[in-house]
Amino acid sequence: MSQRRLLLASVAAHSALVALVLFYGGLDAHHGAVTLGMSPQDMVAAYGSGDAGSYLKAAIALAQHGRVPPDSWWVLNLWPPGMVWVDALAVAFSPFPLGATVALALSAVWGVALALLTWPLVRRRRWLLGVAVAELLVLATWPFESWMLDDGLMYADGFAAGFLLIGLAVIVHRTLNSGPLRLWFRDGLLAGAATAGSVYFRASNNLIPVALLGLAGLLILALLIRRVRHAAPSPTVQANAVLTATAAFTTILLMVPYGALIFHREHRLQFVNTQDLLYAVSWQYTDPTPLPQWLLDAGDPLGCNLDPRQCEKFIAQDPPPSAQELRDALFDAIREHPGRWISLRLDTLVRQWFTFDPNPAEGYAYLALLLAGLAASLALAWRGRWALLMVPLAAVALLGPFSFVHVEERYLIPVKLLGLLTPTLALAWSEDRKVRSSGHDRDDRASQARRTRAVRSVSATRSTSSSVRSGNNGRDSCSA
Amino acid sequence: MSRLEGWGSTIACGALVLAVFVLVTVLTNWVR
Repeated sequence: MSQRRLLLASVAAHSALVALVLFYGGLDAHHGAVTLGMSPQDMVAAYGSGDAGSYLKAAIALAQHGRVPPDSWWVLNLWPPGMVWVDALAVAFSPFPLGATVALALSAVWGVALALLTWPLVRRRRWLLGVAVAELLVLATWPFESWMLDDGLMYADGFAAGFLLIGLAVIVHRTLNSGPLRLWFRDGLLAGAATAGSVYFRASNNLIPVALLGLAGLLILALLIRRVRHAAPSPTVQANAVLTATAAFTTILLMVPYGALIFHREHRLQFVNTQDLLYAVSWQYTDPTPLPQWLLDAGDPLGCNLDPRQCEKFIAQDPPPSAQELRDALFDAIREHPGRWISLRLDTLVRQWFTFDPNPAEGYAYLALLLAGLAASLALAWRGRWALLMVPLAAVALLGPFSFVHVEERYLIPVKLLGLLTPTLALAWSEDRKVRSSGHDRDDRASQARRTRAVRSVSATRSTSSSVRSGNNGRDSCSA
Repeated sequence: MSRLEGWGSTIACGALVLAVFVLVTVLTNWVR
């Protein structure tokens, strides 16, 4: 089977597998509060004021009025527009029920993601059964069975994580397989489109394009330094720079249309405006309206936990502090209590990594996969596959905001799922090692042969000269 | 050379990015 057909078959098989998981119980089976066959209005009532309900309210208004009315714009200030668009398109144009349409779209996205994540593995036929079993096990883990393919189906996490992994998997495959420069450019376009998709669905992916741009900048800088030093340009660095720069600029290009609207309308560059809310929540410990339990579990109010005195001052302050005051005070509190800050954040992060996991082994398995993937990508990057630095950089970009943002357990889903790149990375690392060790063997054998030839030649010269001196015409050397 | 690695695939990806750009522009105009 040709590579193209195998890839298409893999995408189709994986989409069907995800669709099977989603539609297994039929249209009336409950996925958390909703069913796939429910009307949009019933879904809004079932979700209430949660993220999915808010997306739907704005989507229904968009489908009905042809625009998001001013009283629903707050939704687009809190979340990026991706899920609102999907819901609105489904409500306005789909012949199927809303939930079923979203489930089909999600199956397509994860079909592509899983096909790419397993691409080097499914090409080895004897591994197929093992890969299938491993995939079923992965699909049975909490991020899939709860947030992405079940209870949280109408949340944006499934789409966002799927697109993020598609982008990273494309970067990983191109970096490992090399090829002509146009393929690095092509895969940069693909990775950029997928990364933009992930940003349009979850604001927590906002730093991924920044990481891409940073890595591309470093690689371009390395090329410029070589040029200034009149050294020959490195084709490897060039190719890695083309891949990351194309991906970064494609992402930015695709963010421009909506970014322009937000800039024109709200005078900000970011898609969402959640910072002010975050700083306010950080300082709300003894507010008359107590914080909900999920926010307390997620590590807030961080400011009050770090500096209770400042917290009391803010609560008593009249007029209430501005968002900038709250922000400055939060970073001051972090600077003044670094030890406590690290301990609070680590405590929350570790707790949320395992929260809602019915089986703690899952949390450990994802952690082990993630660490192995990071180690393999760093080891391979060290050998010139520079674009693989995007794997650890993505982990940093996803974890970084948690230094002061509350950590809901589902926010850690994309970090956990970075571990799904590990089989590909580990396979490449192991093959790379084999090639290098056989290369060393060849080098060893070649140098051994060179040494032997050199020794023979030296001894032949010596014996020739000695036999010339002794007059025996080099017979000793022949016997030697 | 497999068809996955030909010039056609590069052009198709360029077209995909343009199509996504147009889609995002249309959707942005929709919410406006």
